[in-house]
Amino acid sequence: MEDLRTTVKGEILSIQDLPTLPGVLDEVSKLVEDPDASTEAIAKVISRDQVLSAKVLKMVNSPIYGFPGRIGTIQHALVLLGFNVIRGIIISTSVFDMMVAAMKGLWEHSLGVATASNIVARNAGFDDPEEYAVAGLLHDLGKVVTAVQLPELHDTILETVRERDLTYFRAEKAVLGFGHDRINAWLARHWHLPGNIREAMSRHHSPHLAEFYKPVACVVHIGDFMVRLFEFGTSGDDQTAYLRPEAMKELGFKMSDLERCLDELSEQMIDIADLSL
Amino acid sequence: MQKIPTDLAKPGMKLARPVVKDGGITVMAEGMELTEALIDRLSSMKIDKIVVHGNPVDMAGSGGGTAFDERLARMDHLFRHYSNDKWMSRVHDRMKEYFRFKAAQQAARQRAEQERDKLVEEPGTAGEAVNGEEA
Repeated sequence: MEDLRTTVKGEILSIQDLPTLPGVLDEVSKLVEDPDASTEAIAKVISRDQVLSAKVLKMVNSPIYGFPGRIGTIQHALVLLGFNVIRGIIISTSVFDMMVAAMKGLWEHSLGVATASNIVARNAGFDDPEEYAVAGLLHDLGKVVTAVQLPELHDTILETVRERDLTYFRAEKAVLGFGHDRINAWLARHWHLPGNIREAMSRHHSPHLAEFYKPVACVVHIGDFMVRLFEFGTSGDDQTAYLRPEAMKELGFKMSDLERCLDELSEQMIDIADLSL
Repeated sequence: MQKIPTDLAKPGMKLARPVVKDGGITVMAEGMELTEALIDRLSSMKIDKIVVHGNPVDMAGSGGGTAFDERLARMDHLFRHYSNDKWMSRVHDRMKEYFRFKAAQQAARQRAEQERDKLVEEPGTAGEAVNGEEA
Protein backbone atom coordinates (compact mmCIF):
# COMPACT_ATOMS: atom_id res chain seq x y z
CA MET A 1 0.00 0.00 0.00
CA GLU A 2 1.23 3.46 -0.82
CA ASP A 3 2.06 6.36 1.42
CA LEU A 4 -0.06 9.48 1.28
CA ARG A 5 1.73 12.52 -0.14
CA THR A 6 0.32 15.94 0.58
CA THR A 7 -0.22 17.98 -2.53
CA VAL A 8 0.63 21.31 -0.97
CA LYS A 9 3.93 20.74 0.75
CA GLY A 10 4.76 17.32 -0.61
CA GLU A 11 5.18 15.90 2.85
CA ILE A 12 4.30 12.32 3.49
CA LEU A 13 2.16 10.32 5.81
CA SER A 14 4.10 7.12 5.69
CA ILE A 15 3.11 3.62 6.58
CA GLN A 16 6.38 2.84 8.29
CA ASP A 17 5.90 5.66 10.77
CA LEU A 18 2.40 4.64 11.75
CA PRO A 19 1.81 4.06 15.43
CA THR A 20 2.66 0.51 16.39
CA LEU A 21 -0.31 -1.38 17.65
CA PRO A 22 0.16 -3.69 20.60
CA GLY A 23 1.79 -6.98 19.60
CA VAL A 24 -1.05 -9.00 21.00
CA LEU A 25 -3.32 -7.56 18.33
CA ASP A 26 -1.47 -9.37 15.53
CA GLU A 27 -1.51 -12.59 17.44
CA VAL A 28 -5.19 -12.21 18.20
CA SER A 29 -6.07 -11.39 14.58
CA LYS A 30 -4.49 -14.66 13.50
CA LEU A 31 -6.42 -16.59 16.12
CA VAL A 32 -9.67 -15.03 14.98
CA GLU A 33 -9.12 -16.34 11.47
CA ASP A 34 -8.54 -19.82 12.81
CA PRO A 35 -11.90 -21.55 13.01
CA ASP A 36 -10.60 -23.87 15.72
CA ALA A 37 -9.52 -21.08 18.06
CA SER A 38 -11.80 -20.56 21.04
CA THR A 39 -12.88 -17.28 22.59
CA GLU A 40 -11.05 -18.49 25.64
CA ALA A 41 -7.78 -18.71 23.74
CA ILE A 42 -8.23 -15.23 22.28
CA ALA A 43 -9.06 -13.81 25.68
CA LYS A 44 -5.97 -15.42 27.13
CA VAL A 45 -3.71 -13.66 24.64
CA ILE A 46 -5.26 -10.24 25.29
CA SER A 47 -5.16 -10.81 29.04
CA ARG A 48 -1.40 -11.29 28.92
CA ASP A 49 -1.08 -7.53 28.41
CA GLN A 50 -2.40 -6.33 31.72
CA VAL A 51 -2.34 -2.62 31.03
CA LEU A 52 -4.19 -3.15 27.78
CA SER A 53 -6.72 -5.46 29.42
CA ALA A 54 -7.43 -2.91 32.11
CA LYS A 55 -8.06 -0.26 29.46
CA VAL A 56 -10.33 -2.54 27.46
CA LEU A 57 -12.35 -3.45 30.55
CA LYS A 58 -12.66 0.21 31.52
CA MET A 59 -14.01 1.06 28.06
CA VAL A 60 -16.42 -1.86 27.74
CA ASN A 61 -17.83 -1.04 31.18
CA SER A 62 -18.39 2.62 30.29
CA PRO A 63 -21.93 3.70 29.44
CA ILE A 64 -20.91 3.90 25.77
CA TYR A 65 -21.57 0.22 25.19
CA GLY A 66 -24.56 -0.20 27.45
CA PHE A 67 -23.22 -2.73 29.97
CA PRO A 68 -21.94 -0.35 32.65
CA GLY A 69 -19.97 -2.06 35.38
CA ARG A 70 -20.98 -5.60 34.49
CA ILE A 71 -18.13 -7.02 32.48
CA GLY A 72 -15.37 -8.51 34.61
CA THR A 73 -13.19 -10.43 32.19
CA ILE A 74 -11.84 -10.06 28.66
CA GLN A 75 -13.51 -13.31 27.73
CA HIS A 76 -16.88 -12.03 28.85
CA ALA A 77 -16.25 -8.83 26.87
CA LEU A 78 -15.44 -10.84 23.75
CA VAL A 79 -18.59 -12.90 24.07
CA LEU A 80 -20.82 -9.89 24.65
CA LEU A 81 -19.30 -7.38 22.25
CA GLY A 82 -17.51 -9.45 19.65
CA PHE A 83 -13.97 -9.27 18.36
CA ASN A 84 -14.49 -6.28 16.05
CA VAL A 85 -15.53 -4.06 18.91
CA ILE A 86 -12.68 -5.18 21.17
CA ARG A 87 -10.18 -4.69 18.35
CA GLY A 88 -11.56 -1.19 17.69
CA ILE A 89 -11.14 -0.32 21.34
CA ILE A 90 -7.57 -1.62 21.39
CA ILE A 91 -6.68 0.41 18.29
CA SER A 92 -8.25 3.65 19.46
CA THR A 93 -6.75 3.53 22.95
CA SER A 94 -3.31 2.63 21.52
CA VAL A 95 -3.34 5.44 18.97
CA PHE A 96 -4.70 8.07 21.34
CA ASP A 97 -2.29 6.90 24.04
CA MET A 98 0.63 8.57 22.32
CA MET A 99 -1.11 11.86 22.17
CA VAL A 100 -3.27 11.91 25.18
CA ALA A 101 -2.26 15.22 26.67
CA ALA A 102 -2.43 17.22 23.46
CA MET A 103 -5.52 15.54 22.11
CA LYS A 104 -7.71 15.20 25.15
CA GLY A 105 -10.41 17.23 23.43
CA LEU A 106 -10.47 14.94 20.40
CA TRP A 107 -10.58 11.88 22.66
CA GLU A 108 -13.63 13.34 24.39
CA HIS A 109 -15.21 14.17 21.05
CA SER A 110 -14.62 10.56 19.95
CA LEU A 111 -16.13 9.16 23.15
CA GLY A 112 -19.11 11.43 22.58
CA VAL A 113 -19.56 10.28 18.98
CA ALA A 114 -19.24 6.63 20.10
CA THR A 115 -22.03 7.18 22.61
CA ALA A 116 -24.18 9.11 20.15
CA SER A 117 -23.69 6.47 17.45
CA ASN A 118 -24.86 3.76 19.84
CA ILE A 119 -27.96 5.83 20.64
CA VAL A 120 -28.73 6.58 16.99
CA ALA A 121 -28.26 2.93 15.96
CA ARG A 122 -30.61 1.75 18.68
CA ASN A 123 -33.23 4.32 17.77
CA ALA A 124 -32.97 3.32 14.13
CA GLY A 125 -33.69 -0.25 15.20
CA PHE A 126 -30.30 -1.70 14.21
CA ASP A 127 -28.88 -4.82 15.85
CA ASP A 128 -25.52 -4.73 17.63
CA PRO A 129 -25.35 -0.99 18.41
CA GLU A 130 -21.88 -1.51 19.94
CA GLU A 131 -20.50 -2.04 16.43
CA TYR A 132 -21.75 1.45 15.57
CA ALA A 133 -20.29 2.80 18.80
CA VAL A 134 -16.83 1.53 17.97
CA ALA A 135 -17.11 3.02 14.47
CA GLY A 136 -17.85 6.33 16.18
CA LEU A 137 -14.90 5.88 18.48
CA LEU A 138 -12.57 5.47 15.49
CA HIS A 139 -14.11 8.06 13.17
CA ASP A 140 -11.48 10.80 13.65
CA LEU A 141 -8.37 8.65 14.07
CA GLY A 142 -6.88 10.21 10.92
CA LYS A 143 -6.63 13.52 12.79
CA VAL A 144 -4.45 11.91 15.44
CA VAL A 145 -2.18 10.39 12.83
CA THR A 146 -1.69 13.78 11.14
CA ALA A 147 -0.84 15.31 14.50
CA VAL A 148 1.71 12.58 15.23
CA GLN A 149 3.36 12.30 11.83
CA LEU A 150 3.10 15.82 10.47
CA PRO A 151 3.06 18.01 13.57
CA GLU A 152 3.98 21.20 11.69
CA LEU A 153 1.32 20.78 9.05
CA HIS A 154 -1.11 19.92 11.82
CA ASP A 155 -0.34 23.27 13.45
CA THR A 156 -0.87 24.96 10.08
CA ILE A 157 -4.27 23.27 9.78
CA LEU A 158 -5.32 24.55 13.20
CA GLU A 159 -4.05 28.02 12.31
CA THR A 160 -6.04 27.91 9.07
CA VAL A 161 -9.16 26.95 11.01
CA ARG A 162 -8.73 30.02 13.21
CA GLU A 163 -7.64 32.52 10.61
CA ARG A 164 -10.00 31.63 7.80
CA ASP A 165 -12.82 30.42 10.02
CA LEU A 166 -12.96 27.11 8.18
CA THR A 167 -13.99 23.71 9.47
CA TYR A 168 -11.07 21.41 10.29
CA PHE A 169 -12.06 19.22 7.34
CA ARG A 170 -11.86 22.12 4.87
CA ALA A 171 -8.63 23.38 6.39
CA GLU A 172 -7.10 19.91 5.99
CA LYS A 173 -7.96 19.96 2.32
CA ALA A 174 -6.45 23.42 1.94
CA VAL A 175 -3.22 22.49 3.71
CA LEU A 176 -2.72 18.80 2.90
CA GLY A 177 -4.77 18.42 -0.24
CA PHE A 178 -6.90 15.73 1.38
CA GLY A 179 -8.94 15.26 4.52
CA HIS A 180 -8.94 12.83 7.42
CA ASP A 181 -11.56 10.83 5.57
CA ARG A 182 -8.84 9.70 3.17
CA ILE A 183 -6.33 9.15 5.94
CA ASN A 184 -8.98 7.06 7.68
CA ALA A 185 -9.56 4.91 4.59
CA TRP A 186 -5.82 4.39 4.33
CA LEU A 187 -5.49 3.48 8.02
CA ALA A 188 -8.46 1.16 7.98
CA ARG A 189 -7.02 -0.74 5.08
CA HIS A 190 -3.60 -0.91 6.68
CA TRP A 191 -5.04 -2.25 9.92
CA HIS A 192 -7.43 -4.62 8.12
CA LEU A 193 -10.50 -3.20 9.82
CA PRO A 194 -13.83 -4.69 8.79
CA GLY A 195 -15.73 -3.01 5.98
CA ASN A 196 -18.44 -1.44 8.10
CA ILE A 197 -15.93 0.35 10.32
CA ARG A 198 -13.79 1.36 7.36
CA GLU A 199 -16.78 2.83 5.58
CA ALA A 200 -17.89 4.76 8.66
CA MET A 201 -14.38 6.15 9.10
CA SER A 202 -13.98 7.23 5.49
CA ARG A 203 -17.55 8.34 4.78
CA HIS A 204 -18.75 10.05 7.94
CA HIS A 205 -18.61 13.41 6.17
CA SER A 206 -20.33 12.15 3.02
CA PRO A 207 -22.49 9.19 4.00
CA HIS A 208 -24.66 9.65 0.91
CA LEU A 209 -21.65 8.58 -1.17
CA ALA A 210 -21.04 5.38 0.77
CA GLU A 211 -21.23 2.43 -1.57
CA PHE A 212 -21.30 -0.26 1.08
CA TYR A 213 -22.47 -0.19 4.67
CA LYS A 214 -24.31 3.07 4.12
CA PRO A 215 -26.28 2.80 7.37
CA VAL A 216 -23.18 2.79 9.58
CA ALA A 217 -21.74 5.81 7.73
CA CYS A 218 -25.07 7.60 8.24
CA VAL A 219 -25.20 6.71 11.94
CA VAL A 220 -21.72 8.08 12.65
CA HIS A 221 -22.49 11.15 10.52
CA ILE A 222 -25.51 11.95 12.66
CA GLY A 223 -23.60 11.10 15.85
CA ASP A 224 -20.92 13.60 14.90
CA PHE A 225 -23.55 16.26 14.21
CA MET A 226 -25.14 15.67 17.63
CA VAL A 227 -21.90 15.84 19.60
CA ARG A 228 -20.92 19.07 17.85
CA LEU A 229 -24.21 20.64 18.94
CA PHE A 230 -23.20 20.01 22.54
CA GLU A 231 -19.57 20.97 21.86
CA PHE A 232 -18.59 17.99 23.93
CA GLY A 233 -14.82 17.68 23.52
CA THR A 234 -13.24 19.34 20.51
CA SER A 235 -13.28 18.15 16.95
CA GLY A 236 -10.79 20.75 15.74
CA ASP A 237 -13.19 23.61 14.97
CA ASP A 238 -16.22 25.30 16.48
CA GLN A 239 -18.88 24.68 13.88
CA THR A 240 -21.74 22.35 13.36
CA ALA A 241 -21.30 19.65 10.75
CA TYR A 242 -23.52 19.70 7.67
CA LEU A 243 -26.39 17.36 8.46
CA ARG A 244 -27.04 15.43 5.26
CA PRO A 245 -30.77 14.99 4.73
CA GLU A 246 -29.93 11.76 2.88
CA ALA A 247 -28.51 10.33 6.11
CA MET A 248 -31.73 11.09 7.97
CA LYS A 249 -33.70 9.50 5.17
CA GLU A 250 -31.53 6.40 5.09
CA LEU A 251 -32.36 5.74 8.75
CA GLY A 252 -35.99 6.73 8.36
CA PHE A 253 -35.32 9.55 10.84
CA LYS A 254 -37.52 12.59 11.35
CA MET A 255 -36.36 15.60 13.33
CA SER A 256 -38.33 14.26 16.29
CA ASP A 257 -36.23 11.06 16.21
CA LEU A 258 -33.08 13.16 16.24
CA GLU A 259 -34.40 15.07 19.23
CA ARG A 260 -35.11 11.88 21.12
CA CYS A 261 -31.49 10.88 20.51
CA LEU A 262 -30.32 14.29 21.75
CA ASP A 263 -32.34 13.77 24.93
CA GLU A 264 -30.60 10.46 25.55
CA LEU A 265 -27.18 11.86 24.73
CA SER A 266 -27.57 14.76 27.14
CA GLU A 267 -28.39 12.25 29.88
CA GLN A 268 -25.35 10.09 29.14
CA MET A 269 -22.71 12.72 28.48
CA ILE A 270 -22.15 13.37 32.12
CA ASP A 271 -21.17 9.74 32.71
CA ILE A 272 -18.55 9.68 30.00
CA ALA A 273 -17.15 13.14 30.73
CA ASP A 274 -14.12 11.93 32.66
CA LEU A 275 -13.47 8.60 31.05
CA SER A 276 -9.73 9.00 30.69
CA LEU A 277 -7.53 6.62 28.78
CA MET B 1 -27.49 18.01 36.32
CA GLN B 2 -23.82 18.83 36.55
CA LYS B 3 -20.61 17.07 37.44
CA ILE B 4 -18.61 19.22 39.83
CA PRO B 5 -15.36 18.93 41.77
CA THR B 6 -16.12 17.98 45.37
CA ASP B 7 -14.19 21.10 46.44
CA LEU B 8 -17.00 23.21 45.00
CA ALA B 9 -19.81 21.26 46.69
CA LYS B 10 -22.05 23.31 48.99
CA PRO B 11 -24.57 22.24 51.60
CA GLY B 12 -28.04 22.08 50.09
CA MET B 13 -26.95 20.65 46.74
CA LYS B 14 -28.63 17.37 45.89
CA LEU B 15 -26.93 14.32 44.41
CA ALA B 16 -28.20 13.52 40.91
CA ARG B 17 -26.16 10.31 40.79
CA PRO B 18 -25.17 7.98 43.60
CA VAL B 19 -21.61 8.38 44.86
CA VAL B 20 -19.75 5.15 44.15
CA LYS B 21 -16.29 4.29 45.41
CA ASP B 22 -13.68 2.68 43.16
CA GLY B 23 -14.54 -0.81 44.30
CA GLY B 24 -18.15 -0.30 43.22
CA ILE B 25 -19.58 0.33 46.70
CA THR B 26 -22.28 2.99 46.83
CA VAL B 27 -21.55 5.35 49.68
CA MET B 28 -24.28 7.95 49.15
CA ALA B 29 -27.58 7.51 47.40
CA GLU B 30 -29.03 9.53 44.56
CA GLY B 31 -31.26 12.35 45.79
CA MET B 32 -29.37 12.87 49.05
CA GLU B 33 -28.96 16.48 50.12
CA LEU B 34 -25.42 17.48 50.97
CA THR B 35 -24.49 18.86 54.38
CA GLU B 36 -21.12 20.12 55.65
CA ALA B 37 -20.58 16.78 57.35
CA LEU B 38 -21.32 14.79 54.19
CA ILE B 39 -19.03 17.00 52.12
CA ASP B 40 -16.22 16.44 54.63
CA ARG B 41 -16.83 12.74 54.39
CA LEU B 42 -16.61 12.85 50.59
CA SER B 43 -13.27 14.61 50.82
CA SER B 44 -11.93 12.15 53.38
CA MET B 45 -12.94 9.28 51.11
CA LYS B 46 -10.93 10.98 48.34
CA ILE B 47 -13.95 11.29 46.06
CA ASP B 48 -13.07 14.25 43.89
CA LYS B 49 -16.15 14.56 41.68
CA ILE B 50 -19.87 14.33 42.25
CA VAL B 51 -22.96 14.81 40.09
CA VAL B 52 -25.56 17.21 41.46
CA HIS B 53 -28.96 18.47 40.32
CA GLY B 54 -29.23 21.69 38.39
CA ASN B 55 -26.21 23.61 37.14
CA PRO B 56 -25.14 25.30 40.36
CA VAL B 57 -21.48 25.87 39.53
CA ASP B 58 -20.17 28.18 36.87
CA MET B 59 -17.39 26.07 35.35
CA ALA B 60 -15.92 28.82 33.26
CA GLY B 61 -14.26 27.72 30.08
CA SER B 62 -14.95 24.03 30.42
CA GLY B 63 -17.15 24.28 27.32
CA GLY B 64 -19.82 21.83 26.27
CA GLY B 65 -22.41 20.43 28.56
CA THR B 66 -26.04 20.24 29.27
CA ALA B 67 -26.84 23.70 30.52
CA PHE B 68 -29.46 24.04 27.82
CA ASP B 69 -29.67 27.83 27.90
CA GLU B 70 -25.94 27.88 27.14
CA ARG B 71 -26.49 25.51 24.23
CA LEU B 72 -29.26 27.73 22.92
CA ALA B 73 -26.94 30.72 23.04
CA ARG B 74 -24.30 28.83 21.01
CA MET B 75 -26.54 27.73 18.12
CA ASP B 76 -26.18 30.87 15.99
CA HIS B 77 -22.43 30.62 16.29
CA LEU B 78 -22.26 26.92 15.40
CA PHE B 79 -24.48 27.35 12.34
CA ARG B 80 -22.92 30.65 11.23
CA HIS B 81 -21.83 29.45 7.79
CA TYR B 82 -25.12 27.94 6.73
CA SER B 83 -27.45 30.92 6.67
CA ASN B 84 -27.80 30.63 2.88
CA ASP B 85 -28.53 26.95 2.93
CA LYS B 86 -32.25 26.34 3.08
CA TRP B 87 -32.12 22.89 4.66
CA MET B 88 -29.46 23.79 7.23
CA SER B 89 -31.37 26.96 8.13
CA ARG B 90 -34.34 24.76 8.91
CA VAL B 91 -32.16 22.44 11.00
CA HIS B 92 -30.75 25.51 12.78
CA ASP B 93 -34.23 26.81 13.63
CA ARG B 94 -35.36 23.42 14.78
CA MET B 95 -32.33 22.96 17.05
CA LYS B 96 -32.87 26.40 18.57
CA GLU B 97 -36.44 25.49 19.24
CA TYR B 98 -35.31 22.21 20.81
CA PHE B 99 -32.79 23.82 23.17
CA ARG B 100 -35.21 26.63 24.02
CA PHE B 101 -37.74 24.02 25.09
CA LYS B 102 -35.13 22.04 27.05
CA ALA B 103 -33.86 25.20 28.76
CA ALA B 104 -37.38 26.15 29.81
CA GLN B 105 -37.98 22.63 31.10
CA GLN B 106 -34.71 22.66 33.03
CA ALA B 107 -35.51 26.04 34.59
CA ALA B 108 -39.03 24.93 35.52
CA ARG B 109 -37.71 21.80 37.21
CA GLN B 110 -35.24 23.79 39.23
CA ARG B 111 -37.92 26.24 40.29
CA ALA B 112 -40.21 23.40 41.32
CA GLU B 113 -37.41 21.89 43.37
CA GLN B 114 -36.67 25.17 45.08
CA GLU B 115 -40.32 25.66 45.91
CA ARG B 116 -40.53 22.20 47.35
CA ASP B 117 -37.49 22.93 49.53
CA LYS B 118 -39.11 26.15 50.65
CA LEU B 119 -42.26 24.29 51.61
CA VAL B 120 -40.22 22.02 53.84
CA GLU B 121 -38.26 24.82 55.45
CA GLU B 122 -41.00 27.38 56.01
CA PRO B 123 -44.41 25.80 55.57
CA GLY B 124 -46.25 29.07 56.28
CA THR B 125 -44.91 31.05 53.35
CA ALA B 126 -45.10 28.43 50.65
CA GLY B 127 -47.67 30.27 48.61
CA GLU B 128 -45.41 33.19 47.87
CA ALA B 129 -43.82 33.42 44.49
CA VAL B 130 -40.25 32.31 44.19
CA ASN B 131 -38.19 34.39 41.86
CA GLY B 132 -36.73 32.57 38.87
CA GLU B 133 -33.12 31.71 39.34
CA GLU B 134 -30.73 31.42 36.50
CA ALA B 135 -30.34 27.83 35.37
